[in-house]
Order: sequence, then C-alpha cells, then structure tokens
Amino acid sequence: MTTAKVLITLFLASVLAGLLPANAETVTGKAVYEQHCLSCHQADGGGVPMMQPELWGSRRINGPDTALIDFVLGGSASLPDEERAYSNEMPGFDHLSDAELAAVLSYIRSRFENDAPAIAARDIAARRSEM
Amino acid sequence: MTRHALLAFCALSLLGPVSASAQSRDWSAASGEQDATLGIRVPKGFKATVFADDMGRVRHLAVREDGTVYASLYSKNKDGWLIALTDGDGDGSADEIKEFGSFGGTGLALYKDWLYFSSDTTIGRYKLGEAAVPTGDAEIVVSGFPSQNQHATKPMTFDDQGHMYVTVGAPSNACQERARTPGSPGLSPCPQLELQAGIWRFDANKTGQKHGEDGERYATGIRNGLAMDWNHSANALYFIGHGRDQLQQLFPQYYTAKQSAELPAEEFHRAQKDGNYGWPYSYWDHQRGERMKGPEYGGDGKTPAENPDFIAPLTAFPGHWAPNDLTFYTGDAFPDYFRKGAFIAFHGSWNRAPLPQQGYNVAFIPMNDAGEITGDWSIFADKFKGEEPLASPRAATHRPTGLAVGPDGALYVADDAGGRIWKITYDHR
Ligand code: HEC
Repeated sequence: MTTAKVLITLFLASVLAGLLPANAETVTGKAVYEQHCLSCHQADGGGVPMMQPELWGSRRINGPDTALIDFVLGGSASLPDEERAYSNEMPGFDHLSDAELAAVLSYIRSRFENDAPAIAARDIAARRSEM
Repeated sequence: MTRHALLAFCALSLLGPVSASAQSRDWSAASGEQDATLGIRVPKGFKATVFADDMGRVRHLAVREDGTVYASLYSKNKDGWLIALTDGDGDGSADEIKEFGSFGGTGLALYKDWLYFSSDTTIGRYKLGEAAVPTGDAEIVVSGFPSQNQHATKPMTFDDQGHMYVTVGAPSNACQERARTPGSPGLSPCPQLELQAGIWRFDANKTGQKHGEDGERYATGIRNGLAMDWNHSANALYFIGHGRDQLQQLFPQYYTAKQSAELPAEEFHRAQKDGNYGWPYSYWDHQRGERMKGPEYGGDGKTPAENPDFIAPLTAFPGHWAPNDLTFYTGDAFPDYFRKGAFIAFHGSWNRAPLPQQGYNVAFIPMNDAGEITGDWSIFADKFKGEEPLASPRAATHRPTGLAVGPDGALYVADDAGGRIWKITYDHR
C-alpha cells in the first residue's frame, strides 16, 4: 500500500467511525438527542407545527429539574388532558439509562435558546425511585 | 400473465414517476415555471391565482355549484371554524370572505343541500340556503368518535346510494405495547382495530348516529386514510393512507436512517368492502414491491408479511409524504389526460429527518372511467416548500392540505402553513 492509500483508508475509517452510534461509555447528549428525540423535535429543536412542540426557550426545559425529569420519564401520558395541545404523543423514556437521560436533558438545556444548569445521572435515579 | 410476470409488472408500476418521454406531453410541474407571487409551480399551459391568503390553518375544501368555496380549519379563526369565499367578479381571487361555524376541524364535504364538517369527535352539518353562510344551527350527524391525539381528523365522503364514509385513524404509530418505544412489541390482536384504524360507513341522511352503535366498519387496517374520496365514475371508494413512522428510531438493528426516511410507502388503494390493508401488522415496501412484516410483529426489514388477506396498493409514493386530501378530476376544463384522474395533496414529511424533508406537493395519477390507473403518477404542482433542501417542516412556506374541483373545472388547493388557497385553471397556452 502506498502512503497515500494508507492515509485515505485511515481517513475513511475515521469518517465511518463518526457515523457509528456512540456506545454506552461515550454517551453524549447529542447522540441521544439524534437517536431518540430528533425525528419528532427536529435537528434545530423547532418541532413540527401541530404535532410536536418546539423546544426553543421552553418553560418546561428551563423550569424545575423534577418536573422536567418526570415529564421525560413518563411522556405526555403523564400530562393532564387539558395540557395536551399536539396531534402526537410524547413517549415516556424510562427505558433510557440515567446517564443517557442526564446527558440529553443537559444537552437540550444548553441549546435551542434554553439556559439552565446540567442535570446529573443521580438526579434521574432519584426521580425514578419516586415513580 | 404468470405470477412472476404479474409481480414484475406490479413492481414496475410502483417504481414512481415516469420520464416525460413516455407520455405524449409532459403534464408535470417541471414543464412550468415558478411564479414568485404565487409561490408554486404548475405545468406549462396552466395558470394559478391566489384565491385567498393568510386564512389560518386551512385544511379541506368543497366548492358548491354556484362557485362558493368552503374551507375547514384545523384551529378556529376569530369568527369560526369554517370559511365561505366567493369571487363575484370572477378574477380568480375571492372578494367576499366570511367565517362561521361553532365547531370544526379538517373534515368538509358537500352533500345535497348540506355542508358536512367535522371536529375530531363529531360530524355536523349545516343546511345551505341562497346565501354563502348558512343561517340555521348545526345538526349532529355522528358523534362518539373516540378522542385521540394521533390521526384524529374525521374526513367524510359520500357515494350515490345514501352512504357517508368516514375515516377513523389509528390512535398510535404501530399499536405497540408501549407507544413509540424502541423494541416494544405490537399488541396482537391490536385492540385499536375495533373502533379505529379503518373506514366506517354511516347513513348519509340520518342525524343522531353514534360511532360504535350505528354504522359499520367498511374497511380495516388503515392507519390514517384522511385522503379519501368517492369516485362517482368508477362507483368506488379510494384512499391513500399514511404509512407508519420511525422504523429506524424504534428498530435501529434493522433499519438505517436512509431506509427509515424512504420507508414505508404511502399506499393508494381502491377500498374493497371488508378489505384489510394490513396496519399495524405490515407495511408496504415500494422499493421491494412487497408487503413486509412490521418489526413490532417479528419483521426485520427483510421478511414479507404472511397474511395473504392484506391488500397490495394500486400504486405507492415515497415514505412520509403525508397525503392530506384526495380528489378525482370531475371537470372537463383540463386536458383529456386529467379526466377522471386522481389529485393528491401531500402535506409533506417530518419523519424523514435527519434527511431533507419531502412531499409538499400535489401529485396526479392518470385513470380511466372504470377507476383503473392508466399511467405513472407525476407531480402536478410543487415548490410549496419555499426552500430546498428543506430541513424542518416549520420552515416550509406552504403545505398542501386540501383539494376541490369547481363547477368551472378549476382545481383549488389549500395550505395550512401560509393559509393560502390557490385556484388553478388551464388556459391552453
Ligand atoms: C414521537 C414523537 C416524540 C419524540 C420521539 C420525542 N418527543 Fe418530546 N414531545 C413530543 C410531543 C407530542 C410533545 C408535546 C406533549 C404535549 O404537550 O401534549 C413533546 C414535548 C416535549 C417537551 C416539553 C416541551 C415544552 O416546552 O412543553 C420536552 C422538554 C420534550 N418533549 C423533550 C423530548 C426529549 C428530550 C426527547 C428525546 C429523549 C423527546 N422529547 C422525544 C413528541 C416527541
């Protein structure tokens, strides 16, 4: 193999690695968002009119930790009927790990015009034990 | 034809739009030019005007014999859930616009002297008099549809024997034990099929009917057939359904993001009485030309559905285009090619993310008097999106939602993003 070929191979390998899903040890909020939230809330967090709300400057995201965690664990089934204003369901995400949920909630709290402190895995564990 | 030849033929006819050369003339949007003031592009020889603008979340349309255009609304405007528009001077732009109606949603249709409309749970009607806006109170025709968040609209259409057909959508994506949760299996049998996920037939002329007590299930296994119309020439009901969402997000072991964007197809059917269209157990893969077993029911993206009762579509469109309305061309002002064919308004995708969104157009399927497809579908009007590629539905300028043919043979198209209604005519040039 020529040096050029080795370099190209290495380059392609690194590009491909970037496309693979993150494994549990390197869980990032971005990866969790892309796999579990993006289809509904879209890449820019803008949501879909009538179906899924935008996550921009959201009161729920910037509000109390416990309410945000409970909502994402339980999904929209946990909301009273009169608070439901969209033609879709938000599924509950209690099947994600504490680390994954902490990562994704910290992620949405730091973008889409939101600004609130990160959430730790132990905060998720604490709410889970209440449910 | 042998079974194989037949399969090959079906697969070919499902491949999608044919190049212009196969038809004597290109009647697709690509033959025309986009007009900045209109926002959209229609085929060469056609002309579009903005009939009304900024009307809110306009959904379905109906045009009365005298040319009055009615529109339904997804959410209430200031003075009501319905709009009546008239164009006194005939310049292609409405000059009198009135809102009325005490409830509503997407469903809207004219039947005899009545204007039928629906919220997510109730179908009502107004008696129409001379004036565009009805004066009496609404009568309730059918109530008691289960309240649901997903696929909740209740559009209706009428045959010539006194029946009203109503789509009742599925309250879920794929009837999973846990809604939209990765790996969660499908309920078997799916209890949602009892009162939802199908088309019901009611008495068109009787008030006070209740879903579940009156009416009968006409066809089943339809996730959301809100684009539905009776074909009076073929004497048959047609619909184009919404295929399920999120194959990749729910079953990443079987589907790539790209497959999940393309699959499954949006299926165009002639509804057979008691026909089963396969939801939630299966979906149509237009790339393979085959009905596949859903991953919630043991499928893996490669295993065909076993149940021979599930009906194959007449033709199919790429995934997630979201057919919002279907209407047959009953006029005679358009070229012969369009007579008796089907127009479909595609609201446009959200479920193709992270890939660019698609749909956001009006497609056309050529058909004959007997309701058989005579050629490949093509795009009749496009450029509704406003930007290309379109990353998010929120950024779309227009999203087609409703269609109706006027007494003069013009095609009206509604949009719930810009609140626009276009009138499209053929002007022979
Ligand atoms: C199947 C679509 C879907 C998916 C996937 C989804 N959501 Fe949602 N989400 C919704 C819907 C619908 C609502 C609105 C619920 C309501 O108010 O009825 C919502 C609401 C929210 C809200 C509240 C917004 C506000 O301002 O009130 C947050 C926060 C949120 N989602 C976060 C997430 C996160 C984080 C993920 C991924 C782990 C996610 N969602 C995945 C559909 C979805």
